[in-house]
Amino acid sequence: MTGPTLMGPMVTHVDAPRLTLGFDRFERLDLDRHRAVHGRLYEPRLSKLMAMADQVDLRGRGGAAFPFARKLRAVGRHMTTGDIAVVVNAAEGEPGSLKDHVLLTRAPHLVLDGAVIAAHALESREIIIAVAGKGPALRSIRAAIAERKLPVRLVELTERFISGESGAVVRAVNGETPVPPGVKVRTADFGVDGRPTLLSNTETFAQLAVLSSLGADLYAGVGTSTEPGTVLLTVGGSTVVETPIGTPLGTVLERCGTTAGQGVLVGGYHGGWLTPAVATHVPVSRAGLTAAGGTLGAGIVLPLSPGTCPLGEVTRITSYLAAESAGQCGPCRLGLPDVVRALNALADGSGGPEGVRRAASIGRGRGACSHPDGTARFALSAIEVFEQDLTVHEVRGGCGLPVRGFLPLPMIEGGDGRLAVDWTRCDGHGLCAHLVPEIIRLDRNGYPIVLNTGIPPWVESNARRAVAMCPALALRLTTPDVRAERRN
Amino acid sequence: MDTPQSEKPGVRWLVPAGIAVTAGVLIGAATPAGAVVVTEIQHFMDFYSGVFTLVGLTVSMVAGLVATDRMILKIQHRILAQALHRAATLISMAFLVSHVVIEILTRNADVVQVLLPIGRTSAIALGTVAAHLMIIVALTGVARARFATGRRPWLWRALHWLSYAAWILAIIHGLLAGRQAPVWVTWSYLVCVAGVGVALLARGLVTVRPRGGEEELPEESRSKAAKRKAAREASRSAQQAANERIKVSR
Amino acid sequence: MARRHGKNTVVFLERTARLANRVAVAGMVVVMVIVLSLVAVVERVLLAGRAEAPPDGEILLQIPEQSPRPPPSTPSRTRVAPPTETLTQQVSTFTLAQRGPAARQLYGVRPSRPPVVGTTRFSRDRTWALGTTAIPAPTDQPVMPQVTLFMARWDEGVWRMALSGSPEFSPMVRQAPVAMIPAAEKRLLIRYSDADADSGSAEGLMLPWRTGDAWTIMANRGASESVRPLGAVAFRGGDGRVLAAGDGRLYRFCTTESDKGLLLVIHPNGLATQYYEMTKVTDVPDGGTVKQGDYLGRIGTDRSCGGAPAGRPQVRFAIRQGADDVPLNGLRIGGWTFQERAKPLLGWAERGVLQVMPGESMANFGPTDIVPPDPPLVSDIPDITVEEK
Repeated sequence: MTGPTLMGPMVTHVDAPRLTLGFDRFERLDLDRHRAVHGRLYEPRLSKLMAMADQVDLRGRGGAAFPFARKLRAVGRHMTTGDIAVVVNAAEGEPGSLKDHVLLTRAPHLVLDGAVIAAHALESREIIIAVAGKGPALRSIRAAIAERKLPVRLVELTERFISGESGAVVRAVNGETPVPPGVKVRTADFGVDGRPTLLSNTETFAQLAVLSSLGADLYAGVGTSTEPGTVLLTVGGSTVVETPIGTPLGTVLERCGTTAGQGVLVGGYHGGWLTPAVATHVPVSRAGLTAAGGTLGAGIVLPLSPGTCPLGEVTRITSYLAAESAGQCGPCRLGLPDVVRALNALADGSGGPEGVRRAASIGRGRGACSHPDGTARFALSAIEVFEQDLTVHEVRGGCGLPVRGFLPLPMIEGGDGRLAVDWTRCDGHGLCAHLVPEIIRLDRNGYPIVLNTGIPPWVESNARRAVAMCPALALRLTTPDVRAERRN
Repeated sequence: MDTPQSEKPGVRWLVPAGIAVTAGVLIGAATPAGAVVVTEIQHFMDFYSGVFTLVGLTVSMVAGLVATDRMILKIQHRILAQALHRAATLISMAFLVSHVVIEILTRNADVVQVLLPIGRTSAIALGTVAAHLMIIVALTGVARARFATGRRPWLWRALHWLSYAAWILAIIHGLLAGRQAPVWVTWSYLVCVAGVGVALLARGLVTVRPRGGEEELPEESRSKAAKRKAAREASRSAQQAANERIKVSR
Repeated sequence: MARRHGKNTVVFLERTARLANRVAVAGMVVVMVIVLSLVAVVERVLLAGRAEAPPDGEILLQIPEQSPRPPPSTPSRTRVAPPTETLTQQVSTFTLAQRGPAARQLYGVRPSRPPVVGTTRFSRDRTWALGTTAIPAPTDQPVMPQVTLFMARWDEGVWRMALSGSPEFSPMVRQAPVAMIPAAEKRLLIRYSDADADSGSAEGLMLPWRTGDAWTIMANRGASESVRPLGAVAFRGGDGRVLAAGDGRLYRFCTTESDKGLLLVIHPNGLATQYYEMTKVTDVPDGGTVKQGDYLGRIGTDRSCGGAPAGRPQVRFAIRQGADDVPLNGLRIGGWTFQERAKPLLGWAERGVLQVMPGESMANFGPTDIVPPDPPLVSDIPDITVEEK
């Protein structure tokens, strides 16, 4: 097990590593080291590649688990007519996921191998890698590209939750607003600049490289019979572990030095919760986790340690998700704050789980992407799993535990403000609720209730207008520093 | 969490379009055919920009006064009235600028008179003072959000009331300076005065009768105020509790 | 109010914000339009150069704008809409060329300001123009400014012009479209310009104020080199209301503002009376008819066209025909006959035995041309002497 390195999070593996091969010896695999560890690059033809992917049922590792062979086929149809582009989605929008980052910083050539293999098979002349933010990952992949002298284009994405959605990535590459497109378009047919595009997750390309180098039979040597291969998991937002599919989750947690605690969230913030009992035994596979009520997703595993209020943690995350909405679909933009309100009501005992269920149902199936669905699933599974805590809240209005913030959230940047009411001046005019209904509602008496989410970008101009228009000048925008001062 | 301007799709084509339109206007005005059009525009502005400044100012004041009403208007009407108030102020400032520029070009006023209220005729001096007051008032309006965090919220209202002085001076300036007004202009002055008068009356009623709008006995209004205070306290503490709950303690 | 219907209310609330956005955007658009118009206007003025400032700081904007520099138009190109801003400049130059020397002689000095041009009428297709020009008088001379009407026609890429009083004026007036100049007005203008009415016949004219009132007449030689003692005449007094001396059509010079300017009333007999320095001038439009006794203005101190200040409100009065002033000598107006003598240099108005010198008041007897017979000359009276026996 490699200890914490300068390059970032801890990386470990259960059984034999494949993607993380060589990490014991090297911090970063440059070209020579990569060739030494993984051997020569084989670039099979498209038909062979598709056959291999079919045989091992290689699935995308970005969360949707789309069969990769099918994707190859769909894009391959355009080989004669179109100018195909290959896009590596390294956006990794979720705060709890680190695997793409790890791959890019420590094994960039594995990813590049996969991209080159796909590009060669599809006779594509353009490879694009979409990276979020500027950090060690960007530097590393840039250096790797320079080493191989490949004509690979790097696109920088904003670090938002929905940045990693495939439609949003394509739009960002095209230079448009990086939000999921309103109408679903098949990237395989119309992607970058309207050309047929093969877009897949970083890990998928890395797996493709391993598949090509090992061959289908050897590749299927680990994992389950229906889901061969390994998978990268991010545990606790701090450790990346490679494990063969089918390993019990308990083993993985143990390898990472944690336990199931109060419950385990699998599949990230669009996934589902598992009770500790279930979590220890459930196999890490799509089938196994889905059967248990969770999902594999992008391999995010977040155990919730004891000592923190689970409901509060869930509320905190849901607030973040509500603020991260792209803001273009009504059911998501307005429905998610409703879920937060319902959770708040649940937490102080004034509401029940039905309130959450009702609020969460509005987004179902509606919207340009899966954000409302995923958030709903996350919230609903939470109230199932933490039933005990719920009862305590309902009866006593609180469980007495503080919220320690164990579930990871991105750091708050300087410009993040909140709306606050100066109660000495507020006279219940109510203009604020009309201008910023996502965040401010009026209670029975006509006074405002300000939701404690951050101010999403599409709300900012209205929030400023509300501050200016309040007849009593009772609304203000505060910055986190000011809030911290007030707290002390 | 500011959306970078480059991300907003609308803004991207706005700047080049604006430049293209401005260039088009500049080129078009240089052509002789454009000269005819521009002369008509100039004639229009020479005659009417002053009038429209006053009309815009009046509309703005009436809208602003109307926006304070709680008895008749629903909240969304109040917001629209405020939006109208801002738009009208903006338009009347634009007309003010064009009025001043045209008067300088036609040598009816000196450049100095724009800055200082001097001159042979007091009429123009009145206009200068009115314009300066208008600008101050508009600036307070723009910076209203700053006052939300300041310690003296009453200051904003006090400064903003200068608009009445500006308006009165503007009316007198309009009647004294310039040409003899045709009948309809005089009537429009009367209408402006009447409009603001009515709006002021409505505003006065709001201050005298707080929300609810019914005549109250002193005890009733006191108990109502007490109830309101209690309700406000309840909302505040509920809010605080909600905030505490998800506050991360370290 | 907040949550009666749950989600729908929220969506409805959002519409308010959207509407408010639309209002704001509309406001911005209007502002941009105004700003762009202003930019175009300023650009135009800058291109045309700054309008010259007269010594006392007054200048009035003409329609179309005065441009001292002709724009670079190619004469061979025929246009749909002729360039009207060149017209002003060309008329100005033309007036100076044609009437400048005469003006210089009358004023005693070269005119210091360029002619003030006003185009008051265009034909529908803007190829014909009728307007007024005035050569402003020097500010130290108490004289009446020289005024002319002009006709202009856009012909094959140039403006062809004619001033009233010149032989080309009448043919042009005849050819002008009737929609622009009605037939009756044409006759009047032609008669005025051709000056074929016998001068001296100021029949039917009265003094320019209410019949029966007595006003003071002020007179001086006009320009310092002038030989006429009644070269420049002005009246003041009474109720101050200046009335038209006779029926005719009114033309306005030297201003676009409706309550100022120099007025010329052209009468059916071909003579024209001129009224200057008035204030609160009537708003009868150019070419409009007035009847004898109609209100024209109040005595005042307006000097839109130059001239020396008189200090007190008055109306400067003159008679004009064709291209020249008509001297008052021997003219009968309002029952009075004006006389001028060279040696000694005297001018006065007389009626029968009444004689009024400048500075004294004279009553308006109305448009009568019944004059009491001249008193018999002493020499006509037979000499009755007693013969000695």
